[in-house]
Amino acid sequence: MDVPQMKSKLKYYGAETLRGIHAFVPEKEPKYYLYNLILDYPNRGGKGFRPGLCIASCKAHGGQLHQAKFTAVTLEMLHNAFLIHDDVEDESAYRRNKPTMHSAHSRAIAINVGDMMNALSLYPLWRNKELLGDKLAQRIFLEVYHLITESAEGQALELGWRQDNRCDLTEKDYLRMILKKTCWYTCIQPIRIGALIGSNGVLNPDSFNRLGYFMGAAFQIQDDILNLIGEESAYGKEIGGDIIEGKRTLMLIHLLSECTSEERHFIKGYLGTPMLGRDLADAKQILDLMHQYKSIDHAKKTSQYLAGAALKEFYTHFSHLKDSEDKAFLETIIMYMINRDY
Amino acid sequence: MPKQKDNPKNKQGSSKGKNREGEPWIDSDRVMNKAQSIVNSAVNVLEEEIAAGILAAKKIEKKLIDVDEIRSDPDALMNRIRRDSHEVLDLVIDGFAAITAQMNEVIETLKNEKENQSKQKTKPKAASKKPSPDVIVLEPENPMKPGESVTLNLIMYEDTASDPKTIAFRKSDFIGSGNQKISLRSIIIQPKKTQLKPKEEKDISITIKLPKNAVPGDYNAFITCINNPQIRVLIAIKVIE
Repeated sequence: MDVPQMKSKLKYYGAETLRGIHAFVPEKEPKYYLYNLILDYPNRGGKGFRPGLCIASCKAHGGQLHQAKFTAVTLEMLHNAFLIHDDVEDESAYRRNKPTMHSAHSRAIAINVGDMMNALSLYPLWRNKELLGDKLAQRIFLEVYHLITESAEGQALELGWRQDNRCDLTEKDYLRMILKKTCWYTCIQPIRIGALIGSNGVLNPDSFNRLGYFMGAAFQIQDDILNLIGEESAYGKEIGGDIIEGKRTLMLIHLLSECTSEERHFIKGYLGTPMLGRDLADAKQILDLMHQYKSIDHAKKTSQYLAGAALKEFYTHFSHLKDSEDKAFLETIIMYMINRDY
Repeated sequence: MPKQKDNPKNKQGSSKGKNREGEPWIDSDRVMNKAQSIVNSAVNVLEEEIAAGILAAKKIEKKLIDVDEIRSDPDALMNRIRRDSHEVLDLVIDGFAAITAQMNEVIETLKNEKENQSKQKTKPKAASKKPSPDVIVLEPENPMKPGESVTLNLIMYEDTASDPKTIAFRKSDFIGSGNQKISLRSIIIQPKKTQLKPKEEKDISITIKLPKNAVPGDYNAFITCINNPQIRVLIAIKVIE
């Protein structure tokens, strides 16, 4: 499968999931302040990466799309709820080429929409009982419970580091943070749940932890790189936004470990300034330092290695499965990460 | 704001920042090795986090579970086993199914025989040289409700003229259908141990005291003698709401 075919399949799974999300949003008041806004972020056209992984993992293991449809809806709803709350917490201005929800409305409204979206994401899991039986539905519920708690823990770490202006972080700290904040909910658990559904609960989902982690980590690092060097229109957010927000990315951690003490003092001073008081020229200088110290190259190489490790895990756990479009789809996603040229 | 430098590696910095004159200040091999090591680091982080998650989950379980309650509630006990080990659960369920099937077969056979026998008075075949397949079945006249008690009487009679025999009773749990179970603590045998002289007769009282959370259904428990397994007493009860 080539990359355009992979993207087309991802789009199809994303569209199916979006249809499901629409079906689960109540048609009642208050529409203007709540229910219409629930559909705002999903309608902006995300990649549908999480539902795509879940559905593909399910089908590669012998299941069918409809068996994973409710779980896919839950994953995408939770993702969008996280995004709404993240944008508030990070004070981000743009999401998917449009103003973030709190910028377009208010912080209070955005927080409430995120809360409702979290609540709505539970009902598809309840419907899994009819679709998959009590036992499997309960296992999926616990998987989702786990991914939510891990994501909140990861977010707490990241927010806490910014609050305390931590500049002593190591790559290991970063890997732990993204495992919790991103990897469980973006890759590990979608693949685990898909495999559980496809195998009707027979497979041990722990086999997919490393695959999902390596994929998720590579995905997150590449996303952070794109934030620094990508095209704004393609990325959908302000370029360099992570530096302005003071996000502890792999590049920033690398830079802090490599730069001179004078430069570290400057960076620490910048990160210690409240976000609205930060100078864009200083942010640009930090970006220049990242280039100078090859922090971005280091991150690219690191994500490539992680994607390579993911491919090895993929072959270990998927080679024995019958060849299928969905198996090839998963392989192509990993290959795309390895060969990404930004 | 600090000055921008031509060479960002200040030679007064730490040793890790130093480079030799005339060489590029970033060693590409070093970058690559670092990237490789990050994969190993990631594996360690994952293992640590999974272990921490398991530990945290166990601590929550400990806080949530009332050990005494779960011991007296066979369903909750089975659920816990299921969570802890699916493989063990499957074995246990298979075992229960086999035992229940065997018990039911025994009960059916006995019920047919029982019609021709006295329910109350019986003579154990302990001294018989030839093993007897006979099993005594005792059951209350009426179904029991959770929390209720009933006492059944058994008369033991030593019909041989040989040495005195020591009878020490051993009892099992009540086993119901599926995973249902009532603890053997609900059976009180008085006396638990006794001696029977030749031609002597003794009354044994067996009290069944059902727990308040007993689940309705049919249950069977087995009583035997530690010294003589040929003494076989089956207690059959029906628990109703």
